[in-house]
Amino acid sequence: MGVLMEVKDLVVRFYTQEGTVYAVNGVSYTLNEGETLGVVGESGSGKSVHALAIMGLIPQPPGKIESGEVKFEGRDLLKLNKEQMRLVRGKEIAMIFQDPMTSLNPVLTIGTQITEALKLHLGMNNSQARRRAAELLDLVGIPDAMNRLDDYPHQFSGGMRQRVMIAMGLSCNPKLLIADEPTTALDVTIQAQILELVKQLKEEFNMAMIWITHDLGVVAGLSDTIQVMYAGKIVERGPTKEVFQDTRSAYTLGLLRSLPRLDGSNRKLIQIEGSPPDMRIPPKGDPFAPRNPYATDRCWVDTPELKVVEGGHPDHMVAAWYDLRAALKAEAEQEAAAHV
Amino acid sequence: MSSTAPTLQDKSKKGKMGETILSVKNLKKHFPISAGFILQREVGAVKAVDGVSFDVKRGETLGLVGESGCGKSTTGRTILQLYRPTAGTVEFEGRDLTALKGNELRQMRKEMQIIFQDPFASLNPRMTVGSIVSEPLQIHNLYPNKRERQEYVEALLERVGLNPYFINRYPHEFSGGQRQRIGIARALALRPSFIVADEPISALDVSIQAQVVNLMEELQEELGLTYLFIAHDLSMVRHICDRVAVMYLGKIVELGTTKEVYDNPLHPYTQALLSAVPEPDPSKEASRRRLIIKGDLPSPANPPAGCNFSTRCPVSFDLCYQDPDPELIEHSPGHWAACHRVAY
Repeated sequence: MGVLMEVKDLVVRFYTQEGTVYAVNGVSYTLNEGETLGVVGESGSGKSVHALAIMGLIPQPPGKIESGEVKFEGRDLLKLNKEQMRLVRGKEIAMIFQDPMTSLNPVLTIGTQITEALKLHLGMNNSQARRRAAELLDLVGIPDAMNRLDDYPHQFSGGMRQRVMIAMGLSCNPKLLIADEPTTALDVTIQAQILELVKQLKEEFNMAMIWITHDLGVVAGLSDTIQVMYAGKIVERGPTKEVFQDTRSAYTLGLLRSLPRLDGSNRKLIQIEGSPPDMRIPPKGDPFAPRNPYATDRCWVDTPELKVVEGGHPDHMVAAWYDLRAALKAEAEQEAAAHV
Repeated sequence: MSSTAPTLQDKSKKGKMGETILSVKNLKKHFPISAGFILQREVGAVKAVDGVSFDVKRGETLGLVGESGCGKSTTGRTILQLYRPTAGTVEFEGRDLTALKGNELRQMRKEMQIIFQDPFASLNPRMTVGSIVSEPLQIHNLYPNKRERQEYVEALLERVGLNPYFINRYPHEFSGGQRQRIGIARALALRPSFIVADEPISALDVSIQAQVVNLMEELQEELGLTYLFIAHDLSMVRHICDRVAVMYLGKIVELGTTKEVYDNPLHPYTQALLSAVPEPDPSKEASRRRLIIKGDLPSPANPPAGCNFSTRCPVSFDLCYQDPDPELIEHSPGHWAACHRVAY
């Protein structure tokens, strides 16, 4: 599989009245054709802002892309002008958002909104575009598609609206679909419907996908690669199975340990102490150090870079000065000794 | 921690653990739909809660789960008489709350409190933390001495994990998790025995959720609290609840001990709900067989004839489409389900 997109040292800041917000602090990764990347992080981790930067949707000012490159099929998207970017957005890269109520225009019919991209990017005439729009709605599982084209967003339920958003995202057969928490506002049974649909469509359209979420459960069953973000940086990245089973970042481990399991197997939740960092303070050292029980002295002063893990999968990377595997082993031995 | 506990604890008035503290019988809450411009008339009703019955025992946590719009929050609020019920009774510590009003009801409120979902909307931005937490004390004339009151509030803040030094700060100076702790302190101020927790963690970041849940569990242990825990996060409900009631379109479809309901779900809706929860384990996710139910929740203003779930049910048969609805039947000791398929 070839490389589709290469993000290099992306830095995004917002200059607000309350001070500078250090939203994304040097994010680099590559995305292959057809790959599904799960980006996991809490609010303020920079996961959404980094995606908006790729799409050229950062409001400037107050936002500013300080440095970095986003090479998409060889072209640096950050260097394109507005007109050139318009031709990429929707056609090459499409994005679906968390809240389908606010991201659909309430005064335009669904049909108008889907056909807009088809006419702009693919040069279809009205009747061609309408036929294609109906096909797309049918594809995402909206019954009676032709008639529903003339309905307004409020006439659809939350799950149906998210299906409409997905249809719009897919309309020009993009090479990359970025989904920013698309199922967070939905109920679990509806979320399961949407996840199933997306898995099917990904096969059919053979596109790459970036799935942004705070829910480790959602990406566990969906993505090939997982990228965990904290305070505007990638703290761990690797094949999904590796990240879950051979966890190397204390933050990822903290998240996994604080989640209750459906089978009730973890009786006590191990909480991550403290609260997420204030993004207005310039990053120094490892941002997770204040909450990390395994932090070493070096974590407080030096910022760790993303490096391939020792004795693990070659694609598995972590940004840490501490050795989590060794620390956990020592912990287990101590516990065993205490029992003897 | 131990130095503040005596002021928070007041077990002398509490009854025995395990006895029934709350008994809800055939509770209904219908919101009228009106039409007409000047002469408004009622044309229908949203049946948010439509005949719900259950008991809560002292010291236990009963989970109330279901999707948005199933009536779980309305049930919680109707129990506390924040909404007056359309029909049914709510017996709390032996007294029927639906028959009480005015001062009598206000006295009962000392025993039952609520923690809200949204820690941003449920704290008055113009009040300091101290005044938010001490407001219930003033209303009920407890700790009339100002200094004693402040000391008590400081102890409360400390117990929920906030620095008492923050007593004069405003809600916007706190993070979501800290705000939820303020909400918990306010609910505890009157030393209630029963707390309705209405999705207390769903607005919080993942790393903060465990902190708040652990705090709630500690407090329950320490103060002998009884919780009605309303949530849609099924993994968290499994973790915190002793028993669980699953709601669908204003009705309870399954009720039982958490272990029974999760390991041996009887109602097809419960089965679908459990199979829809994504788990943070790639190998489990790969091998899982999902039971995906089609379509959306029907409108509670116009519920389907017969079983409410019949429109989406994968195993429905002719009886399910006819009135009356299936009744909640006890299938094994303590495990109830309302489904024709299970009953026959």
